[in-house]
Order: sequence, then structure tokens, then C-alpha cells
Amino acid sequence: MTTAPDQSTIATPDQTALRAHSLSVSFANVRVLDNVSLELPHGETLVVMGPSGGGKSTLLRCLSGNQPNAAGEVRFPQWEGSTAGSRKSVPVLMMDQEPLLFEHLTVFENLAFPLRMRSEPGPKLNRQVDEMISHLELENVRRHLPAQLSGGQKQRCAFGRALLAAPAVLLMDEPFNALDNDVRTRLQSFFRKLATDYALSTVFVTHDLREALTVGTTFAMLDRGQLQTWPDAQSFAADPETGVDKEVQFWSEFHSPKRSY
Amino acid sequence: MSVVTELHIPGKRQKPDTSGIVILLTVVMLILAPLLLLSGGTGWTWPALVPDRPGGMLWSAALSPDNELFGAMFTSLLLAGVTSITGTVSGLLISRATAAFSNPVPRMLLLFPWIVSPVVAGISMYDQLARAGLAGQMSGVVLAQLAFAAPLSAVVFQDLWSNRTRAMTRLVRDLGGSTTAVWRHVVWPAVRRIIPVCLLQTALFSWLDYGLVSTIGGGRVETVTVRLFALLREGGMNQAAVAALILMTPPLLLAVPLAILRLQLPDHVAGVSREIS
Repeated sequence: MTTAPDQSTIATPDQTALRAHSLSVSFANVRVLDNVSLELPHGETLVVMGPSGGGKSTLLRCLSGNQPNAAGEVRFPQWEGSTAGSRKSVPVLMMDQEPLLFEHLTVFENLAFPLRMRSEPGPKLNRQVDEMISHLELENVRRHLPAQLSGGQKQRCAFGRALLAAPAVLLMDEPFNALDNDVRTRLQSFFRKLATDYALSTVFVTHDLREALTVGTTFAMLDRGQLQTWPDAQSFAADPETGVDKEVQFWSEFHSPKRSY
Repeated sequence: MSVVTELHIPGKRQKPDTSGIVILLTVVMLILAPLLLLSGGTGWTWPALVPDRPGGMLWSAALSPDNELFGAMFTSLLLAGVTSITGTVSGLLISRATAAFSNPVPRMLLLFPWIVSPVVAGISMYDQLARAGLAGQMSGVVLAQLAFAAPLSAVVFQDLWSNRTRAMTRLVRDLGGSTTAVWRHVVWPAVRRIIPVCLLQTALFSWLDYGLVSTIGGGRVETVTVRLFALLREGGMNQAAVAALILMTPPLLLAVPLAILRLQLPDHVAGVSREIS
């Protein structure tokens, strides 16, 4: 006779992609981050908004381990539980406003870079990169060098490379800021689709409320070192502190027939 | 039929000013013409313009394998080759190390070749190199020249270690790349166009150096510059002219690729290389 295992003793895998605890950073006696803690469930996009100089980029540098004078703890529970020690994925990857591409490599080779770094076999590598090129709609420029690409194509290429690197958490610091409005809107939808398809866990910093609501699934505001979070778009939009209601009111008045200048 | 008329704007010069070029050419010819005349024969009687016995005998003697000048050419070439390669490689590593400091003092130290002349450096280094048994040796001269060649290269490489290079280095690491991958995909693509400029400049520094070779070499390391001064002291003006022209040949030949390379370089690097030379 076999007995069913005691459910309380079975460890359930931790689905938290990122857990940061008590992050603190000070510059010249100014507390930029003050005991900030946050959790990012797997597959979610946490949008971080807030005023300029509020510590958003500092928070991303802390999460990526590149902030020299930071205190606190950052863990990647899901990554640590599944692939720690293997070279199949990286815990965290940062994407900046300026897409960092290898100028001497073609679009194909830029995308293949993380796969080559983990010695992926040739046929599998080619298939994965070809699929990504197709997702990114970069078929026409696959043999082009970065200098021959537009801003939007470069950003798509950098994003595709990040997806192929399969980080446990992707950190994006206003990635679409330098692009014109049309390209930006297109890339926001594009990001949302691929983030869902690839179950990407992302911390996305932006100033733009519309961008935040397009790409985000959970929301946070960082102001004077304090982080306030909202679990979904509804609660975020309903809170008067976020400024969404003012934005909606502005556009309603703008489109109103009674509007006068 | 089309008629092409020249656009005339009152008060504007229509032709470029060539007077500067004329002055430059005159200076160059004042140096080159006497050397060419002196090396083109032996003997000279005032007020003749050409030597008494014109011919290429001085050149054939200088280029014969048993001539001291011929041997000096090989020594100079060997020194220039070794100094340029070691100077460029160590300059690259030094520039990387100094760029890591936010404090400007390490970078200021790189400017010491502009402050200390080779003769002064030679005098101060001679004692230590003599104790190490390297004075009067080719290796001692290379070490002494390296003290100049490495900072010269490091200054040229300095601007490579920008925020972008740091971000690219971090990216390669984050994507799972090793130190080799960083050098291959970040450092090498950035330096490959600058390396030839550094090699040429350090080679020219070594080729034209007299102060370090004469003090550290102590007469036992005989380069073209050392031989040239010896010929001048001996009063062999015709042979000295041949030696001077041989000394000038590599810089003249290297000036062409150097000028082309500079045109292809980013402005900040081309600016530094112009300042050095």
C-alpha cells in the first residue's frame, strides 16, 4: 500500500521572478532609495513611474547589481530554483534608452550572440534566431549592420536579443523614449505581445502614462525614495495619486465640443 | 550651348591663398636640397652648386652589407619594431587601467613624456639599468624607450574607455560572455583602427630617438641617429647627408599611410595623434 505524500511537506516552486528587500541608496546625504522592497511574479510587467530624479534608474541599477553603494538584498527565486548553476539563462538583463548593439555584427549575429555565449548547437541556434527575426519583422535587414538600421529596428533587435538571452528578469529603462511617436506606439504593442508570448518578467521604467498602461500589468510610483505599488491597471487608474484621472479628464475636455481656447 | 560664369561676390577672395604653401615648400626644400646635393657625390669647391665628383658612390657604399650604416639601419629597424609592438600593447593595458580611476592623477602621469626629455630620462634610468646589466644592451634601450612609447599609446587609447564601452562590457558579461568575449567583441572592434596609428607613432619615436639610445646604449647600440652624429663629429658631411636621408626615409614613407589612417579615425583620436606628433 502506498501512502499519499503529505502535501504540507512538498515544496511548491517559487513563482516569484524577483524579490528585492530593503534597498537603500544615498548620494551626498540624500536618500534616493529608502528601504524599498518589491516582488515581481513570473510573467508580469511592473511599470515604475515617478518624477525625474525620483530614483527610478537607481532602482534598476540596484536590481541589476550595478549600483556601487547600495544596501539591501535582491533575489531571483524562480531562476535560483530552476537553472542556477547552468548556463541556459541569465538572472537579469538591462535594456537602456540607447540600444546597445555590436556594431561589427549583423542583425542575425547580434541576435545569436547570447546563444553563442552558451554554446547552443548550430541548427538549434539558426532556428531560434530565424524565428526571432520573423517575430521582430526584421527579415529584410537580417544581414545588415546596426549602422544601417533605423532607431526602431535597432531597439527591436536589442529587445529580440534580450528575449533570446532568456533572463529571469528584464529591466527596461525608458527603452522607447528616443523614438518618434508612431514607432513608439507600435513598439509598445509589440512589447506587450512578445512579453505575453514569452512570459517575460519585466521591470519597465517610463514617464509616459499611456505607455505605462499599454505595457504594464502591475504598477509602482517611486517618489523621494518611497515605492508605492498597485496590483493591476484598474486600481492604478482609480487612485487619484497616480494622475490617470487628470489625464482622462484632460482628453475628455479636449474632445468636448464645448472646448474653447 | 551652356555658358559657365564664375560667381563673383564683391570683397570675397576668389582664389585660395597659396603663400603658406610656398613658405612650407621653401622650408622643406631648404632642408632637403642641401642633403640631396651633399649625398650626390664627394668633394665641393666654393662657389660650385654640385659636388666635384658627382655620382652614387656614397649610396652604394652606405648600402653595402659591410658598412656600419647598413648595420645601424637593421638595429634601428629592430628597435622600432620591438618598441612599437610592446609600447602599443602596454599602452592599451595602461589606458584601460587609468580609465578605471575617477581621480585624474593617474591620467596626468601619462603626460610625462611631454615633460621629461629622452636625454633626462636616459640619465635617470642609466644607473638602474647598468645595475641590472642592461646598459649598453639592446634590451636596455627597448625598456627605456618603452617608458615613452607606452604613455604615448595610452594617451591615444584613453578615450576608448567611454561609458559606452563600459556598458557594452557589462552587456557581454550579462549575456554570459567571458573576458575573451569582452576583448573580442567590445575592445578589439574599438581599437583595431587605432592600433596602426599607435604602432606607426611609437615606431617613429624609436627610429628617430637619439637621447635614450646614446645614454643607455653607451655607444654599443649603434642606430642610424647615433651613426649620423658620429659622422658629423668626424666631419664626413657627405656621408652624414646620406645617413640623414636614410633616417628621413621611413618617416616620409610612413607619413602617407598615417595621414590616410588619421582621416579615417574618429575626430578625438585623430586630434590626439596630431598633438603627439
